[in-house]
Amino acid sequence: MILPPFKLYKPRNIDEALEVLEERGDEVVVFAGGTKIMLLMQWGMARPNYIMDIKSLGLNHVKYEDGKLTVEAGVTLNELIDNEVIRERFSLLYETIKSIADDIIRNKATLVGNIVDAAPYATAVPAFLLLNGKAVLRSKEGTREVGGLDFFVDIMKTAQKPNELVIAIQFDEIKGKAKFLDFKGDSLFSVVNVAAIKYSQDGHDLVKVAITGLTNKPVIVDFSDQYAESKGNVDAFLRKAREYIRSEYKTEVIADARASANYRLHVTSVLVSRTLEVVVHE
Amino acid sequence: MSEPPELVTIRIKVNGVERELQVRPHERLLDVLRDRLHILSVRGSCEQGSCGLCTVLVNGIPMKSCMVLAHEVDGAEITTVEGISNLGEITLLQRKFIEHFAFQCGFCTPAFVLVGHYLLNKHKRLLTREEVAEGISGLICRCTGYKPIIDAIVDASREMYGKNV
Repeated sequence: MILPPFKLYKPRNIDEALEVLEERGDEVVVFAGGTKIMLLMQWGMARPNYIMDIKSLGLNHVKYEDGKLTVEAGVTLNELIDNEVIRERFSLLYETIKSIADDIIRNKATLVGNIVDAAPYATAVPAFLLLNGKAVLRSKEGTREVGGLDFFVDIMKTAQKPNELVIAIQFDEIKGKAKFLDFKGDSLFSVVNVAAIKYSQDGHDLVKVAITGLTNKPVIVDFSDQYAESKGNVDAFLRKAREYIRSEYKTEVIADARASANYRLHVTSVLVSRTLEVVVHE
Repeated sequence: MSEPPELVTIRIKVNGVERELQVRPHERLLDVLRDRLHILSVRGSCEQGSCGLCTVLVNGIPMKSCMVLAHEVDGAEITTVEGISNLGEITLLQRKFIEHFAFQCGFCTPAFVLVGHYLLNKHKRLLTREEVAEGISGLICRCTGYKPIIDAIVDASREMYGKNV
């Protein structure tokens, strides 16, 4: 197979990379792990004019300080799996990453790439949302952070401007109970991804769920009130949660060749129920 | 801003031999290994990162070469199945593949041997069946049902590093 031809930028530092994006941001595909753009090119779905490989920029650090985790753009998924801090303090992220692709692809694919693609099958986005994730965007004008749902605009569209480079993603450490589940039907790409978390804040139990693959944009649902109202009746709480997903997203649910709207809605409600069951279990 | 060059010069060490090549930006490592260096144990099969039969070791780590652009491996050491043994002798792991009949048509075997070789080198201890299953999860074999492949790799780890798992 021959890939469509493109021209290659290999900047040696961030300033050079930002210069390229300033001039040609609209035409450049940023390449770190490159697994998504390679696939799209192999499927004939992308013909970029320019690719910019950012592996020489030294963006390969994982930093943990005062309960905040920073993962730079070049860090691969397996580097995170092997990282003790992720394993011990960010179990939701760890569990999520173990679900992405396979053990060999994870030697190349990056966490930042998975999130900034903003695809409906983006596995790590629910963890990004529940752990107060922020994208750190840099351009020649400076650095800004965009967090949570504000980062996601539409299917495969984010708040990132053409002249900006996502240099890292930040997460907060949240001490609570979390669970991730996905549903993969016909390939390594998920149809739906669901993460749930339960933690205490100011004496209240917060119970939240984040979902990708259900609607155009990722979704966060706060089930804290319903959980409080259920007064420990887990079965009733889970039933209400399933019903809420089925009724609330009935008109917004997406459909494609891999899963119809009804199928997605059903799978999502089941995964929401299963993840919540784990996190509310005493 | 000037246009980037049409060709990129890369220096790689393939199975211990230094190579300098001029590649086009869109050439994949798979194409370079098969079409230019004629290493045909690296199979192009699904060519979309699913089957893993084009897996090679890049600086000792398994990568699916259909998902790697050639320029990315500039300065790297590439190992294919030909590079894991000395003077054409088969390794202990390869012997275990034969003993356990861990192949039938053999098309996927180079990739499984390379990943097995990587797992043995990475852990340097007795491997569990679960660890091996996870390690080979990115590879597809349509003949064996995987059991004899896992048997072979676990048996090799047993002989190299210990007794029972």
